[in-house]
Amino acid sequence: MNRCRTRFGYNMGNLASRRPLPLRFNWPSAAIAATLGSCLVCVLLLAGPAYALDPNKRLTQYMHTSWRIQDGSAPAGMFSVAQTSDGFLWFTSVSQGMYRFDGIRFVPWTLPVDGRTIDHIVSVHGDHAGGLWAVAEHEVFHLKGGVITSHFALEGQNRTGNISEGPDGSLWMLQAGFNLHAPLCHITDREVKCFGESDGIRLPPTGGEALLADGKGGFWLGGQKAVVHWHAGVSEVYPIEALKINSGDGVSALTLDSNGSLWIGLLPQGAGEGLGRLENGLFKSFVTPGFDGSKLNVIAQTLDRNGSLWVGTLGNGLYRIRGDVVEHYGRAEGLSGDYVNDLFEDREGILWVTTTNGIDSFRDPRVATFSTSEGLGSESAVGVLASRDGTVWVANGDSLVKIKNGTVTPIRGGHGLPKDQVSYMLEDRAGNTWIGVYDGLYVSKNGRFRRISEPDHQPLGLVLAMTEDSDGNIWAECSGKSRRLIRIRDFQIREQFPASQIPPGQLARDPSAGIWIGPANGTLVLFRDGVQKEFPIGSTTNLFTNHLDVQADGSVLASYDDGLVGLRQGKAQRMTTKNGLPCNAVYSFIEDKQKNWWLLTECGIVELPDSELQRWWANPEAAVQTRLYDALDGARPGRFGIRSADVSPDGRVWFATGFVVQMLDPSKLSQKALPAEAYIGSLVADRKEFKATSNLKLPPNPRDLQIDYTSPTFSISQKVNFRYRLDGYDRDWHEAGTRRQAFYTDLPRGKYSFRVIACNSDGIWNDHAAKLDFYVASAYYQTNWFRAVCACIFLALLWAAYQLRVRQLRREFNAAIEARVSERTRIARELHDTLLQSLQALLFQYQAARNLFAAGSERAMQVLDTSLDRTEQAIAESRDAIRDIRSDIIAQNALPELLARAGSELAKSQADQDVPTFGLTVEGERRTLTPIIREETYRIALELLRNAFRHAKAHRIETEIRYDDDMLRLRIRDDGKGMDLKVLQGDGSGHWGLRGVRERAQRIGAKLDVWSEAGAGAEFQLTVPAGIAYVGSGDSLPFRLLRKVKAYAYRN
Amino acid sequence: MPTGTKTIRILMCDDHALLRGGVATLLSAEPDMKLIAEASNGEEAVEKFRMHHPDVTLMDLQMPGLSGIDAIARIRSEFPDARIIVLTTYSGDSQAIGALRAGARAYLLKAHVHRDLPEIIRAVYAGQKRIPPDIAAEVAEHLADESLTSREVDVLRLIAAGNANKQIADQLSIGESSVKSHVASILSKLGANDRAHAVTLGLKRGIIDLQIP
Repeated sequence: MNRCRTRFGYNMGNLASRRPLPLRFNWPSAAIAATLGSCLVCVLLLAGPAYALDPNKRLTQYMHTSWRIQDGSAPAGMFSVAQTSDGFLWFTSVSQGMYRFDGIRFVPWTLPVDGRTIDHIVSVHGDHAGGLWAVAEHEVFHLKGGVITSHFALEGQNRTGNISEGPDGSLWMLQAGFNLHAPLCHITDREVKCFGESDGIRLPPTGGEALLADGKGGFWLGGQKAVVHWHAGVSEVYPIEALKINSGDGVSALTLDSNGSLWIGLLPQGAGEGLGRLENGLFKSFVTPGFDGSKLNVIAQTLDRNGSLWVGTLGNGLYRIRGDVVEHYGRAEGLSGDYVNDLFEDREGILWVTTTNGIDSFRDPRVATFSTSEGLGSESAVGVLASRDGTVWVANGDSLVKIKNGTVTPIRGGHGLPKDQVSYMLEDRAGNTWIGVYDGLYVSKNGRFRRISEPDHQPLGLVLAMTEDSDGNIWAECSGKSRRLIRIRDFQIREQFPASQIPPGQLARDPSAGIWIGPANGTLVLFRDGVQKEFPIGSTTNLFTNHLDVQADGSVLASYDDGLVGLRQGKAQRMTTKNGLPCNAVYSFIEDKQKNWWLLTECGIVELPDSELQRWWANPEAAVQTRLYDALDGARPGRFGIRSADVSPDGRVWFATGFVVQMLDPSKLSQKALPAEAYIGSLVADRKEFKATSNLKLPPNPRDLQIDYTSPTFSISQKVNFRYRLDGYDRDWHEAGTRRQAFYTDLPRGKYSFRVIACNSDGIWNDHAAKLDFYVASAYYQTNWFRAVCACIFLALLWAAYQLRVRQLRREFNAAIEARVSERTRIARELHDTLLQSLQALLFQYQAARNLFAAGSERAMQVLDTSLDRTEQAIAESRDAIRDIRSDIIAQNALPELLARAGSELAKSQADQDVPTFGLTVEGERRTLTPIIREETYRIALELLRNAFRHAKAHRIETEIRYDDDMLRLRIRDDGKGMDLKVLQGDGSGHWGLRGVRERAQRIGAKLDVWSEAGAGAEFQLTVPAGIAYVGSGDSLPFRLLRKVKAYAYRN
Repeated sequence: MPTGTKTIRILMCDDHALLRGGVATLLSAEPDMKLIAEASNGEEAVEKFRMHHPDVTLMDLQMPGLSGIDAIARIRSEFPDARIIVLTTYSGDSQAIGALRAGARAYLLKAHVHRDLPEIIRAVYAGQKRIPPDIAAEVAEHLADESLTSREVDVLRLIAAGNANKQIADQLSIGESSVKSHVASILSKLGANDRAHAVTLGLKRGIIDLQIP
């Protein structure tokens, strides 16, 4: 695979004066920055040449594409072109850096050199091992996988295309300069070794610009004044006479052609300069009739894989030389500019040209076109006839045209043929060529045309259809004064059938006898032995029959604007887009030598394999597999053909489209395009770009994810389709079509693998997928440690709740104990204060009475009476105390009843004094109180009532119980003497009651408010939060907790 | 029978009017005794003592305000030869020791003394001391016990009043944890099982009384 290619440079300084500086152009920065990505081992190089430029085609017949700077479709100032083994094309510009091209977009690319920008890259070269050499003026970089693997500074100066790659992947480079004694450098990844005079290189110390490996271990070196062949340490010097006193640019390009001739391109033009060959050791300008190579400023040469030499010039565009045939393609033909910079043939056989105005590519289309560019007088080809001798005749609007060996020759008049419009051509089995022209029908005999005479001297008019039946009768449909069908035998018109008798239409012979007619009335007609037989074709509209053909088995095929109709054994069936036909309007069709069918349709030329046709014959509903050759393949369909399809003896298929002639070679179509390799460029997550590196980590929760991918395919980039899937997300492949981006939104965390495959322009999918593994990181709340922390916190909360509950229980337990203690204390005090004191006092009384008995009974009686009174009093006090102690009464009664009873009893016990009236009101829906609250509330109320009854000197005491939803409220109001501040504040001695009440209230989580003024009565309000007071208020734990918290807050 | 010519002038100090009435009735039957004043709390007792200089003072220990023991101590500090008889409802080593230390000449239980009270008054008036044997035994029994510190007594008193630890801490302006350690110390010193038991023991032994502080 040592395909040698020469690349040539020139002196920039000299050039600047010769050509205007290109307009500076800002390439859209939106383009995604390139990365070589993971460079896959490219198997493509092992594939054979794909679809190289067919040398038999005219230069103008190639598909030419231009990317012009002025349109904004190409970056400015592109000089050198190279292709890396991954398929990408690289363009360099001395001022604009490098661009990577995938067939669709030019992506700017910067050399990753310590943050330094290397702008002055004069050339690039893709080596066969997948690397890329980037050559700056005094430096050379070797890159692999986007990383610089070596970098050397060089003594001399590099020019565009002074490179030759050795078989081992190393680089040979011829440098220019002053006093440069070792101009030829050998560069490997490890070292640079330069060779000069001491190694036998006999070049002047100005070095050289053109380098060519001779394929035998030696080199051809192109210098300022001579060409040197250096081999095994020995130089053969071939001075160029015209460059004897040259001090500027000299040899710019060297090419060895397949015959072993060395083609030498000189930048200067003039006598003995320009383009020439080395003949007998001397340079000789290449001159052929109509071409003078000495007049060219040659800048670049390349030999394509079919042996054609391409020459790029400064000012004269592009030349292709094959043998003696020289073809020119310049600005006038559509080249982006006449000043060429570089030439490069890529691995698909596409020739790339950089000019000062843009980039051009030439590729071989599947469908070739013959138009005015190729010699057609006008673009009005309505018929085509491929004769047995290989000549293709074209019925063109103004003349008959002969195409032979790719040469187009119009025949205007002469040979007995009038100049008028040719409409129909037929070659009969005897080899006679019949030609219908405007005013009649001619038949060629012995190279001369003879007119078929009309028996009634009525001009036949334009011949619209012709056929020869199995008996050798020639039938023709003529549009003279009256439309008619004629039968000719032995060059004489034997019969005429007016249109009223036989419906006019396309004609075809029946294999057994008679002819078929395809009229525009929804039928096909078999006309045999003077009898017409009509077969309806099931069409609702009466469309013209575009083309009619009868096969050997008698099956009839007819094409219409609404599909292809088949008639077999009297039964019609139709093939349309429903069957998979790319479009319905079929203008013409023909069967080639491989028994495949070719259909000229409104959307292009459709290949229908015979096997598919047979499936359709068997099943009219069958879906057929077809292949469409559309405009991108070179097809230019039109609908005005009359006899518009034929197959030449070499198997090529010809169509007249009404405008141009189209030709395709089925045997060459089997050469498939190279498989398309997909590459993943970059990944954009929420507008942040990530390079497609392995194990890419993305930040959590990417909202929008965009993955850019591409495939460097240049034959028909527009037909490269993609499929992708995201493993870990997609279940199936996405059909992306030609879209080169994939979008995802809201990807959850996890590992993903993005795979994309591409299909080439032939529709063949490459199973080898480009793959990008990445993972979306977890947000902190998605991570396991966070969950662990959550679990810990939850457990801690649980533990805290448990502790809280334990403490609460302990507190409740303590409270219960304290309540018990205080209750005991209270009982003890009660006993001490009442019963015990009374009994002790009575003891002294009785003792006194006893002592007094001795002195006199009257006094003793007195003391005893007092004692009895006091005993009675003690009993009353004890009863009070006992009521306080007895909780069974409390347990059995609701609060209002308890208070009503207490009120009335207190009133009764005050019988001797001014008894206040007692009132009790209850508001709100009654609720059941918890036992403790009921008891405590009762005791508080009792104490307050007792105080009011005994000490307030009130007229009225009112008690109000209010059951609110959020609290229980108890109010005791009197209109007595009131209390002073000291008592209210509860720190006064003596009034233990209020203080005790406060403490009780606090203990149960209730709140006691007191309003009082001396002389204005007193009001006490006890409020207990509902959560504490009522039974069953909030059964759920959270609700109870809430209540507790509320109660706690309330308490504080 | 009284033999002296001089009437013994008596100050009665008790917060229960009923009891004062009973004692007054009893003393009224003794011709050589005269109840010259009554007081219902400690301060009043000190005042009345200053006013009347009684020969013998009958002093209850459990009174609101200035307690009996404090009143004894204060009277004794002003009048070192004051003869004071403690007349109390409860026995209890702690109270008895406190009262005797303050300078009481006799320690009598209300429930047991009604027969002998006049006799004892005369004896005290005559300069004698009277401690009933059962009280003397009880005092002797706990003399060797570790006594509660005054702060522990405060804590026990507040416990008896039905306060929780936190409330005790608030009232004494100490930490809740100190209250806890005081409680633990109280339980250990008194040999009590729990707080209620401690209060019972404290009451029994007269370390605290039922007086509201």
